[in-house]
Amino acid sequence: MNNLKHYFKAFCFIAITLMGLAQVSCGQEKSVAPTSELKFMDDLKGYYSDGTLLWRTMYYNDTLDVDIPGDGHYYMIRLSDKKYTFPKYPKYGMEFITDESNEKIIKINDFFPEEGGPFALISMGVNDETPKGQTCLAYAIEWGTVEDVQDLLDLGANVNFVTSKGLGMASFLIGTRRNHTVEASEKKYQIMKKNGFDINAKNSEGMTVLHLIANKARNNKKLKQLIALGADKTVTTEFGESAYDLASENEILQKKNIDINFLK
Amino acid sequence: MKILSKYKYLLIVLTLAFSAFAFKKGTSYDSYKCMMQMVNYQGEGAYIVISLMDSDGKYVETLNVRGDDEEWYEEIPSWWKYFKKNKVTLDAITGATLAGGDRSVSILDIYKDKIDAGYKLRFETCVEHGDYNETDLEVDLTSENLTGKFEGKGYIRYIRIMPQQ
Repeated sequence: MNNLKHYFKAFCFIAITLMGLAQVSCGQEKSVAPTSELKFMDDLKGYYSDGTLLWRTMYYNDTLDVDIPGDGHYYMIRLSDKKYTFPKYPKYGMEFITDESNEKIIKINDFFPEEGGPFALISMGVNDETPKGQTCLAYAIEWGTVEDVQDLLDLGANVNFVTSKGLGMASFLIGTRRNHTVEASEKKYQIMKKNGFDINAKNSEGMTVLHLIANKARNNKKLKQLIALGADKTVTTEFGESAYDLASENEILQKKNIDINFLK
Repeated sequence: MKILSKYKYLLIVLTLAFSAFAFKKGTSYDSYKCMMQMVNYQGEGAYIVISLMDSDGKYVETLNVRGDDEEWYEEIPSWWKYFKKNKVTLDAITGATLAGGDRSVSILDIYKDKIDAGYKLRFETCVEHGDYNETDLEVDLTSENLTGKFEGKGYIRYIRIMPQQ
């Protein structure tokens, strides 16, 4: 019995040591030597000290010192929020991508809460997914310009990437974002199509984006957008359901008596 | 000799661990696909626990848990009472919560001797700032029911069960 106790102690000791080591190695990944200065000039725009324009409104205590290391794309996480540290729950993540020359930041997503840092930059490959379930391309499709989408595809972004949440790139193509004018979506779609994008592609659960939206929609706007872009309403799920079948089971659409006959 | 006796314990523990593993991986169970289709409700993602219940309505095994933040497990009171006492590793059987209109497939490993023997599958759901449904859905575990579609009462619109090919 004493032996067992002894062993349990030893086991605990080893486990704790391992956990400690894991934390230390995580910590190393997080720390990025700060050099250049990030300033927030007004409510709408922020600049790096070299004059590089940031894209989005942010409220931040003072300044944030960051240096963009190496090549590629990055996202940012807040380290002080222990509950949501990398890699599992970077709740207050800021995602942004740099251009090829790695000098200019062209995208920023989300915002930090008022309390501030410390933050860390996490490097990502062009087809890596952030813990928030986005790729650079997904972000560019949702928030960026037609040119941003083209640039990323030229950089080798995978247009048929499906995120761990089961979302294909089409999910980011529709919606009410300011960059989702009919023309912009259409243009982005054409570029994506040229690069092998299939708007009727199925995710791991056998659902197309039209199916997913039919299931979750609260109005018919996105469904109409998808049909206008050329989504095929005859495709069925592995259970033989069409987008119309799913939409007609959707409680919110039913309750609001929303027209879905265009899916027939 | 002392060292040897120390190793003996390790050996026993390892043997037990492996035999448990071997038993689980033996021919005594079959895997079933369980597709859950959620009601298109508004609000946070639902925690869902799929349990094997005996004929007295007692928990026998936890087959699947959607939602991996253990802090919220207390909000599933019936199951929590069982889970607290019989803390089992949930690692292999957890997934993300399911929100309104979501659909997802889980794999359920069901022991053959539990089929047609008076057991039930219980689907328990709970939503933050929402409702708790002790039996959102309950299905008799019969061989007939292991292929079929069943409607839920709460956050689950319906489920479909089928043998995994």
